[in-house]
Amino acid sequence: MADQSQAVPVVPARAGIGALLRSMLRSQAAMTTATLLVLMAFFTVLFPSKFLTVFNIQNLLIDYSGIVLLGVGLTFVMTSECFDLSIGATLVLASVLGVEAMVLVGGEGWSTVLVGLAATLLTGAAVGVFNGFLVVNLRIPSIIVTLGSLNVAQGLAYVLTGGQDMHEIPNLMVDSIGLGRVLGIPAPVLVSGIAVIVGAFVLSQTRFGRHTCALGSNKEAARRAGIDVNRLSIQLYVLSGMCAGLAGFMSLARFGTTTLSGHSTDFITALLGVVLGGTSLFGGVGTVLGTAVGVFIPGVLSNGLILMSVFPYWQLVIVGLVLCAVVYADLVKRRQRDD
Amino acid sequence: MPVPLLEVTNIAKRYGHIEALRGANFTVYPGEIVALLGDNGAGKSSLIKTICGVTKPDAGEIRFNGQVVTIDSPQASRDLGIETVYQDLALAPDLDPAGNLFLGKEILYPGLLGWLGVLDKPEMRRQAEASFARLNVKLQDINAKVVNMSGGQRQGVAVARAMVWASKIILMDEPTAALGVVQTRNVSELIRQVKAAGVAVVLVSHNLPYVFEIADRIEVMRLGRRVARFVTAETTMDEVLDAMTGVTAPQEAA
Repeated sequence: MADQSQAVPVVPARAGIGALLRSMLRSQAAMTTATLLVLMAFFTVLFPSKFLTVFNIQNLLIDYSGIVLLGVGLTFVMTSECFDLSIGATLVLASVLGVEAMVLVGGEGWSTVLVGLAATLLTGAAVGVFNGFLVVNLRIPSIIVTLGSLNVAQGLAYVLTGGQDMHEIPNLMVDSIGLGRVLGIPAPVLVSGIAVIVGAFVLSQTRFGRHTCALGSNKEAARRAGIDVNRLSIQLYVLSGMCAGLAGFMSLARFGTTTLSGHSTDFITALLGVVLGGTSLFGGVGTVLGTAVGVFIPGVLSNGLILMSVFPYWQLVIVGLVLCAVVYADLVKRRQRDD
Repeated sequence: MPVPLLEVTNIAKRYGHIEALRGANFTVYPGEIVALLGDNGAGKSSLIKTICGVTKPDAGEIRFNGQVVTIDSPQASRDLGIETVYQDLALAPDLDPAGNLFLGKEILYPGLLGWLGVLDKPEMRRQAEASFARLNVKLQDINAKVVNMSGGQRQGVAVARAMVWASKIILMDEPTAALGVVQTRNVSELIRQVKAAGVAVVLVSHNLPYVFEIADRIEVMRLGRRVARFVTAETTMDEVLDAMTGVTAPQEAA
């Protein structure tokens, strides 16, 4: 009886429009989308004929399609309260082994391209198994394991190539995938878009996604609920590695070469997108759609800075500072919540 | 006395050089509320962990319905119809009550969607709402995450989860430790409902008045062994306290 009298006044207050607006504002995905729109409006006003053009926006989407792929995998791993610093280096190693495999089988046709795709995905999966095994079986903190595998993967890429980029990529792959279009949509954008939609669905609507959230939310509770948390962790690292492998394949298709030194900042950009999108650094909460939006904040910023003729290296400075600020906000929110 | 539902005999468990359990016995009869009492370090938690499959005993025998069973994982315990409400509740704070109720036992859509692992969220929410209503667990917002709920509401979710899945026994480790007067009364209601449904409740508690209010029987542990058994209605708190502190000699040999 006492409980009913307590509950009654609370319910209508929660359903009010004001509360709804407040909860929307509190949702980080909404904040991120708003920030992105404000940034875009800012650069549109500043460069009316340059920023908001089909050409520029399309380039932006293509440029960040690889980061989006990395971000999808990273979102899953981080939702389970783990890290994967190795994704940028995995991308590079996968692209190197992809070219090696295509050279090995020879030819210029689709079968060769498929061999390349299989090799990049397998490389990503292998790095994922390595990461997952060390984290789960040896209980080394994931941030250290993946810092190690980052260097292993990047180092192997340099060893295998002698430090020289490889260009032996079938023209077909560059023409129809890197530069190709389906229904007017650039193929790299299409691939990333599909990855985002599938990833968002899996994380929010399936048992696998639910268990991932539970693992990040309370590992012991997940274990006691009968979830095989070790197997799940390894699966998540394999997923993250395969996303990086796919990004490596797409990078080959776009540039026609292994970009050995071109991905050192990919991880931090993807990480910024993930946390801006509303995935918590402390696990339990993750949104792939948020990541897809979040990645374009550094993207638009960098694009706009180039239009403003700001020395492009400033972008790194800004990304680093914004990352600290966003993580601080996440921390404050978490402390308030836990009090 | 009827046949015991759960009969635990001569359990030994050693952590390093500490003997947590030295031939402990424990008995649960069908549909009763039995309190497991003992001072700190008496071995209550170790015994509970053995029954719910979190730790494996070094020696001893567990009989369930007269059959010898092996409980080597939380799942093995659950398969016998035993559910546990842990002291820390073991909830996933970022999931809603329905998500926690069905964690590890999610309902999937039938057919292709189910094969793809797609959660039937509406069905789980519907069943969760029905369960909370039946158990009289009041939640202000069934869609809120557990992290945003009060301690009493979280306790309600954890107890309800155990009650929904337990068919034989619920183990509750200090269910009222973190609760106020009103919530403690609510948990008592829940425990009585469990008993009414024919499910036995094992209550680990320090709260003697509470135990006397709710338990049918009391088993007392001391230094890793069972030292006394009482029928609540036929004993006094002083008698139980004396057994807990070792003033009276053990009723049974190890």
